[in-house]
Amino acid sequence: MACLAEPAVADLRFVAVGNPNTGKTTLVNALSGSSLRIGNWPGTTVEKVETCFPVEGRRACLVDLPGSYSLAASTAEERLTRDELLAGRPDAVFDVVDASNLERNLYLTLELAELGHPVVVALNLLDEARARGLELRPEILEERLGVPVVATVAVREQGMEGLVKAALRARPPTVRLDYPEGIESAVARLEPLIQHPSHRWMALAALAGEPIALEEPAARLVETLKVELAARGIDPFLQIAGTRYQAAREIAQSVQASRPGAHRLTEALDRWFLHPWLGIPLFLMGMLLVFRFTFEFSDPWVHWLGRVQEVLGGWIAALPLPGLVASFLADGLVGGIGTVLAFTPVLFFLFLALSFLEASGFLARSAFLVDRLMKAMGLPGRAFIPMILGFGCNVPAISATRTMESFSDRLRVALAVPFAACSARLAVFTLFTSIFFPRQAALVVFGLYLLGLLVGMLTALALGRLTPPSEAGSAMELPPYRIPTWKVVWRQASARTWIFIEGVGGAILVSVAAVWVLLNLPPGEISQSLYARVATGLTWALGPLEIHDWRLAGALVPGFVAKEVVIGTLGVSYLQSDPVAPLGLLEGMRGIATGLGEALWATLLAFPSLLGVPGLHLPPPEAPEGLAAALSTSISRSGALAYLVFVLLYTPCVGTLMALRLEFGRRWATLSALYQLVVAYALAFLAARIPL
Amino acid sequence: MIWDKEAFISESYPGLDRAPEESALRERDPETMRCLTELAMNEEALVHAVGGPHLRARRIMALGLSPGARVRMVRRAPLGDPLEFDVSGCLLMLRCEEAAGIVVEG
Ligand SMILES: Nc1nc2c(ncn2[C@@H]2O[C@H](COP(=O)(O)OP(=O)(O)O)[C@@H](O)[C@H]2O)c(=O)[nH]1
Repeated sequence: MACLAEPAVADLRFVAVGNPNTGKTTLVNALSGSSLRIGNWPGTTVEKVETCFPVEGRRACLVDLPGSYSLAASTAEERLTRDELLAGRPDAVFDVVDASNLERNLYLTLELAELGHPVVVALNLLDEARARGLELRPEILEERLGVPVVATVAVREQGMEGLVKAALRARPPTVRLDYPEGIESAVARLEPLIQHPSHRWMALAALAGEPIALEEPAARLVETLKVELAARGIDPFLQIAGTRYQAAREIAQSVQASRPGAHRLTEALDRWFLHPWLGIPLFLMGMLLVFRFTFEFSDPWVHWLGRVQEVLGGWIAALPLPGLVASFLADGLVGGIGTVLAFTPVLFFLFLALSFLEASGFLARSAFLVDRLMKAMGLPGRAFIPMILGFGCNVPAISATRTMESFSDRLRVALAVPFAACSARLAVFTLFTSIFFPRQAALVVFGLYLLGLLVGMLTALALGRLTPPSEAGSAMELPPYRIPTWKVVWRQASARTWIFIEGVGGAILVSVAAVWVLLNLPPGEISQSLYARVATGLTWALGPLEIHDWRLAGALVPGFVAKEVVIGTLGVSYLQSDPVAPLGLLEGMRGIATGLGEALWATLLAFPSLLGVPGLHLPPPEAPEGLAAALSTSISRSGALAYLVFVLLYTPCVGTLMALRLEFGRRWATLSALYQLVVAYALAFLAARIPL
Repeated sequence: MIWDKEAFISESYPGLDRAPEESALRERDPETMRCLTELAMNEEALVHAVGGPHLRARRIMALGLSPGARVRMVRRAPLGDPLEFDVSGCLLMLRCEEAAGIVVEG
């Protein structure tokens, strides 16, 4: 992503506004050329897209505001859009309008007109409107609104030049709505008291009951006016909204020479995807596809990164450095960077899938299909996808909660997700069940998955009881099926991945380094290290769980870095095995290069496996030789079960914790970690009491 | 910037204690008016009033289901609950309890 300087004073400031699903994101991308900056709005996780481009010798910066149906905001994103529009004076507002849906889109346009900003209308999705047999007369729209109207097809980058040129001619709309007499006279009294350029919109909003905090004489007058209107039987909200709808409808009808026909593709696809019996099975197959796409396509790349890390570690070990320094560089530094990078392929493929699902219209359908199920937990239908993803990896699952609108719903899902047994935990499960429960291995692992699911669901349910339900309800649009452009999906996915790495990388590095210090200081035998001391302390706390061996208790600490590390640490502490075998320079390079080839090849090979039938067998445990024998004598079967339950439920990993912090702030991340520890301890305590 | 938005927008909603469903139901004429949920598959009607808690009603109206709009029942979700409606060419999903607060005529 190219980084741009902050706009200078003389630059033109543009903002893009429009209903969701009107192709606004695509349009901003089409305008941007190659310089696009994607980040978050300060203090939120709402995505902020900004781009600068030259216009007739000047530089223009365009900020994409979150999609809104109205300036009377009902979601956090709409609120952000409204606040931005009230706070600044843009040189032009790009109002992106869906040509086949003028009636609803013009409602927002009429509100913009009342704000008084210069507006240019992008009549987008014109190809779709034509395909639906809709004849439009843009010149009439231009005349009625009094602003330039430009026909565009954002996916084919048509009309972009005209749009930018027209933005220079943008002017405040001349259209003016006449409200019923009672409202107009109230506005006339209120308006002079409001010292804001958008005084007309503000006066109307205040009368309609919007949370507009006005200064003193005006605020008092609003209350008086409301009482007066109520006494005359006037409901300002209904009358104001009603007048706007009527005007929008009337303008839309004058612009359309015919009524739009049905969206053929959408009708045809929905007949199958939302079918009373086939809908759910097809949806589940689709979910499996997304799941596999995310995890099977990223897997070869995670392996390759691991290989690179090994080779680098080997090279460093071969350098003429004091043992401790080399070890720190290899295990602490390279290991830490490797841990951070290991998340990137998974996140990238997930974000690719999510961007596609969102822009194509499939995400909204999935919410429609499973809404009833999720409602039982007091959650919206959109909660389903993050919950399912949790079984692959908790980190992207938490990022995926972004597709939900209400903060409290998102938080509840995000606090439930870490209990979903991710694939990293599976490695520990298979090793322990193969040692302690060889006959019932599958049953025990299945039971653990179920336990995780149950605890997660109960968590979401209990939190739902504590927080009030989202007041805006769950009504939403099912946008027509559309084919997103590769460019937009790719850019969005890479930007989202980068935001994660930036926000989370530091903390992961620090925790990997801290674990290195524990394991390696003071130098010498591991049984003399800080780690052994901490672990011995832990056995005191874990005694009631029938976990008495310090090496087992200790492995839970590095398990916080990543669950895969549990087994590695057990290997080191039981067998003193040194996993790094240094490779020669050439050999290592060759290893990296062939690994790259293999990863590319494996990604290609993953295509057919997308469609295969899921296998139900457990993967064989991956562990150093001799570890099984050493472990089998170090803990009882009850203790082993308690250990598994604890590993299932306690703080999954630093990545998950940091993802929580990135989305919800430090406080919620800490609280969630503590909560998981308490739940894990309590349930492991119970598990240790099961007579085996 | 000439305007401090913090000072002007408060997140509480004073004066929004009005319950629109009451007025909507009072005006309801049992002869010609029904709830949105009572529409048959593919049946069309005209929206008369939108009830329910204020924020919710406002959102539903913003989605295009406002008094005066034509609405058609499209389908019910496989598990029975959310309903899909066509509002002048645009598809919306509403939970039954939300649709029950909307009065239609015709
Ligand atoms: N046919 C057609 N599709 C479009 C056009 N503009 C955008 N799209 C598609 O509409 C979908 C939604 O676009 P997006 O930019 O994500 O909409 P946003 O929600 O308004 O940001 C994507 O699949 C786009 O590829 C257009 O002019 N014509």
